[in-house]
Amino acid sequence: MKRRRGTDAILLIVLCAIGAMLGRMQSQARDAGRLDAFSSIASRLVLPVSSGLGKGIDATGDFFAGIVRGPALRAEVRRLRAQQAQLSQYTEHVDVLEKEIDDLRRLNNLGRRAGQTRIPADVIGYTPRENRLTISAGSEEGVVAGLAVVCPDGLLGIVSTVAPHTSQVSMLGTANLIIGAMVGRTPPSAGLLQGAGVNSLYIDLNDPKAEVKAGDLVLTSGYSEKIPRGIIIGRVLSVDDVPELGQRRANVFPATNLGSNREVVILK
Amino acid sequence: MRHSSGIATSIIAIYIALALQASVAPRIAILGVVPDFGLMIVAVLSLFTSRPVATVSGFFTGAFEGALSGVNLTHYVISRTLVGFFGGSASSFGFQPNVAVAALVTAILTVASQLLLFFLAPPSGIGRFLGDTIGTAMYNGVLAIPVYALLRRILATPGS
Repeated sequence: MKRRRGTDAILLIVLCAIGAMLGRMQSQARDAGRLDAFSSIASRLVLPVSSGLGKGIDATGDFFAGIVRGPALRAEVRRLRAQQAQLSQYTEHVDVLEKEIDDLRRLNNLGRRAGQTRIPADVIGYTPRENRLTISAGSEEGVVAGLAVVCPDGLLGIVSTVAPHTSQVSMLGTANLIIGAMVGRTPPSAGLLQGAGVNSLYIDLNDPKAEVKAGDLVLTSGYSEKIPRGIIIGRVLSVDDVPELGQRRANVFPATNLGSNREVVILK
Repeated sequence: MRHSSGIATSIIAIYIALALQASVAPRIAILGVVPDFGLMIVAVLSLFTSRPVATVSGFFTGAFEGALSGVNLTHYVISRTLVGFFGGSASSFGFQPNVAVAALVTAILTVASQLLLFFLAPPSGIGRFLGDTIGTAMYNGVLAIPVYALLRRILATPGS
């Protein structure tokens, strides 16, 4: 009996050591912006089934919602079509202006702006506790680590690791995620946005006397090669002064509902 | 219970739990509390299998959960392997498995595992983490009841 207990304890230690080794391999691969071999195998084994299950649940839910809310949904579709027709004129105008900006940048030998290419993807996995998403686009689709992932409401997160056909996204609120941001006033107040847990963000403003008030819009600052300027992040909840550090900190509530998105777009 | 059927059932159960974790768990959240299918299945399986099988089940569940969630899998492996190890030792503590014990053991092991995770990788919001841990433990405890009943039907040998 005692001998068996000893053998079990050795098994426990060996397995924990293997776990530490796998974790080390995973960290090394993540630092290089890619997925390690074990995580890649795990994703290939589990995610297709998991994604199918998710789609099945959504389809069933949509089917019953369609039966219950049929007339309201038809009215909504009509309203959205009318809105889309109006928007298409506006987007054409924006496209012309963007082309002009690109031409002017080229004439001045400035590099290409970030966020010009849009890569669509489905959300195929969501880990709320870890604040992470798995999406259905990877290096084969042109995704690289550090790109912005957006949904209709605004910025959702940043691509952290990339596999051939999937990527993992660190969502806003992740503790070590730092993004250049600004409070959308005239003139804008720039700073660094950091996560402090799910639905909890704060921005340390560069100017300690910056005029910032609750309700102000917070956007990406664009001082980055990969994250474009002007993506909505959220709104200021409150402002705290840290006089000893000469800092002004604005607490931000994200604009995106982090768990409810099925489709996202990666900006490259 | 035959050893081989126990291992086969464990593999299938863990696979289903992992698939459910990524797709179903966020959709059945109650007040932001999500169940942890992987942790729950390791705790329930440990009541049926030997300690080595439960320990290995915990290891694989932790490794896959960590790999799929994208966080450092070492923390997951250690916490889940220990859950399997101590769950597999439950009979030596005098527990006689039944539905209520399965729910209680699952809830206790969930709290223990998450507290271990808390010390291995301290989260940013302690209050929220503890609230989520208690919520997940209760959720896992409730889910353990039907899962235990199902596994008892599959794994129990005639007359046991």
